[in-house]
Amino acid sequence: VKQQVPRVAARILAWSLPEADREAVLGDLSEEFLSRAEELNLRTARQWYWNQVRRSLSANVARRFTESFSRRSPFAGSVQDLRGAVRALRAAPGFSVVALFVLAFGIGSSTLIFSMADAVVLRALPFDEPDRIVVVGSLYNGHPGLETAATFLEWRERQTAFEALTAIADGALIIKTDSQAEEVRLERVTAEFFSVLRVRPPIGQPFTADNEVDGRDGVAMISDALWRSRFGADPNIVGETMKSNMGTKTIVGVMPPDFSYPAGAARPTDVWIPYVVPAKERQRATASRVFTLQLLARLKPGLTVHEAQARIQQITDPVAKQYPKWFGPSGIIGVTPLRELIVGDVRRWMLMLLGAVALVLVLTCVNVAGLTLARASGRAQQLAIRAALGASRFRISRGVLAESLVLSGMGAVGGLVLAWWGMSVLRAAIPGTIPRVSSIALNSRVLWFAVSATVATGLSVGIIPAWQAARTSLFGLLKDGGRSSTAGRRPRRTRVALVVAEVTLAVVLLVGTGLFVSSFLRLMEVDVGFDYHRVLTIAVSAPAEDSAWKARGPAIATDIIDRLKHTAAVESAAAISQGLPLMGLQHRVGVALPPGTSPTTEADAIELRAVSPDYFRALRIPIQRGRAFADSDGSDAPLVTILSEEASEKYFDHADPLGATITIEGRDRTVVGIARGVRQGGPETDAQPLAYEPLVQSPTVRTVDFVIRTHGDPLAVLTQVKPVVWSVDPELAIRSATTLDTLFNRLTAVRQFNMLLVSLFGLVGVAVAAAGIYGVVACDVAERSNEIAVRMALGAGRTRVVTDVLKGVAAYIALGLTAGLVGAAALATLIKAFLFDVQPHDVGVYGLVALILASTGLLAAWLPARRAATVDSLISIKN
Amino acid sequence: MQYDALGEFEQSVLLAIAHLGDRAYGVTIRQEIETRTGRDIVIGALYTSLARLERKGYVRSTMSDPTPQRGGRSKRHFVVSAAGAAALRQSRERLAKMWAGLQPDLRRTRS
Repeated sequence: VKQQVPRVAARILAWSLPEADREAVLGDLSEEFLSRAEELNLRTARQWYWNQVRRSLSANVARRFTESFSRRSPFAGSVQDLRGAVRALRAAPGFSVVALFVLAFGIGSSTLIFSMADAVVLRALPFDEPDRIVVVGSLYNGHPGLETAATFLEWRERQTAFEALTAIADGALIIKTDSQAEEVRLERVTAEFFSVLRVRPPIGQPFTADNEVDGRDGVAMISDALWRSRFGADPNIVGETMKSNMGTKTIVGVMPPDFSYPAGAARPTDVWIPYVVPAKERQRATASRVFTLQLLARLKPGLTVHEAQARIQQITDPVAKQYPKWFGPSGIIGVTPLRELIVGDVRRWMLMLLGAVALVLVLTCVNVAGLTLARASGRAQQLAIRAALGASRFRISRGVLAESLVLSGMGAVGGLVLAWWGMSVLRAAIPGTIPRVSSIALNSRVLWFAVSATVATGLSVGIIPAWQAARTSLFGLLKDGGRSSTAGRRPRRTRVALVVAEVTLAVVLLVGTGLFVSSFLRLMEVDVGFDYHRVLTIAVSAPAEDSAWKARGPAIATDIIDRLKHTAAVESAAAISQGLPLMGLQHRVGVALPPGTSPTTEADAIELRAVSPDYFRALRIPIQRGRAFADSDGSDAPLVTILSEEASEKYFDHADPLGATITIEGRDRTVVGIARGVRQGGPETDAQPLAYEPLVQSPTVRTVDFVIRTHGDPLAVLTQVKPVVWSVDPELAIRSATTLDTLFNRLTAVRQFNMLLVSLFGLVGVAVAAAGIYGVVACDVAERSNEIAVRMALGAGRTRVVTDVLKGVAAYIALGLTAGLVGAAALATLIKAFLFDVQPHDVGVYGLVALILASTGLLAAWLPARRAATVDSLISIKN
Repeated sequence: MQYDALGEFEQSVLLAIAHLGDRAYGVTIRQEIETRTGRDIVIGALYTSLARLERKGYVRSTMSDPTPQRGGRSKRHFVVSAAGAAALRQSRERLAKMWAGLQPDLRRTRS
């Protein structure tokens, strides 16, 4: 590894130092950096370097600038400039207020979005040296998947790439007290978990490998939250016991308060207990393949993800050759940084939003530059007098620049207030499916961003007017005393160019808005294949150690359904195992067809759901042919199945599937019905081939979801439903009681949220562009008031005058529209992945945007034009 | 002759240079103060102080040849000038006068 000082830090340092010290200080720091990098490590050395630079910054800058002020430097008189700027801004309150609002909004919204992207995507995970934490597992669709215990044991023993490798099995624990049972999130983990994540519990000690043996595993670590909520933050908690469905557990320690795993989860883990590898899963020869373990590891120092991947692949390859079914289809073992896995898809959304907000910021700059310019032309005379008194052109443009910096500085203060307020709104509004939301905050990184955005804004806003001020002809201005009929040609042309730019940017933003809004509308109208309104859903699970549940589960479910049907507010009730519709594809099983039909391959897996007879009625899924399940399809009756229309097409093509036999998950079933397709994988995923089996004929039932169609408000019925479930078996745990409506909203929440933000940007874009057009036209007609008055005195009609002005405006709106539409079309392909059911070049959207902008723009121009034309011409001429 | 009063940090810097003799430059001065007092010194503060001392004529500096482990940059060596030494002595005497006659356990009674 090349040991080099952090380049950015060195650059900043060099800039901040007085010329005379640069050489020595940079040398000193790099010398000490190198010795630190050798003795300790590169990371600490870099941190130290950055730390030195950061803490030296204010002293250095102060020294550098006080020293340069004292000489004849280009910065002499800066304070004077700033004072002048404040005075000038106060002299033009109208301009200042409008500019401040626009700036505050631009800086505030970009700071807000940055803070969100920073918390969700950019910032490191809250663990020690988080970049070294990786997830290991066979790759499925590019993501490391779950592994078997046998694979874990093998890797743990033979791997050389990781400091530690741990296995995590997710689960639920029901904590019992005398009066009630409460379910909490559980993780069964091997002792390495605590060293992989480097947890240092404030109370007690984590359990060790000694506990990973049957009989010695009755210990638990608990979360800070559980410790407070359930144990009253008892400092003598170690040694206490709690009863659970998994036996009595002795508490050995409490996790740190800021520890939350899985990182960014809406519902973090509360209890960790040792994971004991079941005896029958230790050997491949005897074991059935159970993929339940997430493997988490900490890379050895200095090792890259790539090298670690190569090492683990090397020890796996021979095993995978012998037992291919124990590994993913590609045989490739993935080593993925934990952060990448968590942030995943959200990253692209966030970057897109950052892009949009960058456009807003640029638009803000262009707009305020236009305003400044319009104002500058009004006080060109004042500048000319200053020039005549001996101020250099440089000095004058610096004054103009100082003004825009002061303005954007004040705008930044407003923007930060806005961002701070927006954060609380955002935190509440942001969908729970976005990770790490709780860490959105105004921290130093966000402030740095705001400051840089402000300086960049100030400079870009001021640079054009400053340049204009420098090149104004003094002679001409002084000569006619500022009464010349029109301003110079050049400033006006620049102003028009800025308006064209504003229209362009607004069009781009508005096209984005249009595409997102129509995506969302299409999603709301999408036919998911069933009716999810007014349906209550609860998940019911039995005690995990109850081995009889597998056999009893369907019977219990049937019992519950029977009793629910007799509840007043319940219209129909049914049960489904292996996951509700829309909630994901998670139970794919093999399919084989009888001789005579098209042969199946490995890829021909099908999603399988076990449902009770009334399922199709409760969710209003039409049975297109054949019949639904009936009570007569009992556990002893012939095995039957219902296929979705997609499955029927895929496996039987045009043949008639009714009555045919199909082998699903190794069992021969007769097809008795064809049901309409259902979007099982989510609202944005097309319906996939799906097979149903009667719940009572299912070999694998663990957790059952009930779907209950109600007469009134579903959640109101919940109080009646719970006692019914417990009347069947008081040991049953009820989880995630909610409505299908809520689930659907949760699934579409991210899209809705993004749509709202992008729409906000689009609206702002239009408003700012309209304000820009208004400003330029108002300025224009004011300068031409003489000419207009003369024309009207000579008999030109009011309409004629207004039309003439509008014609000019229409020309540059059209120019901006064209540029904007072309730009939007180019950029739209970048957001193609975010669109749903809408083409990036949807003609309707582009047309509508053009219409909206053209009419808004003309309206913004019409107001000042009409006012100019109503002024009494005599007054105008006299002036 | 009267010298400008020295701040505590300036005294530390001057004394560190004196201790180091001809080995005094940024890195060693920083480390000398750090090992003796346990204070964590930021390079920016150190050079601010050195610049002031040099302006007052209490230290003199010379640039040496560049070395590779410094990224090819030169060192700036510092020595305490005669005036610097005199100023140090004066500061010490002034303080000693202020301390004279106080109970030896002053610090404990105050803290």
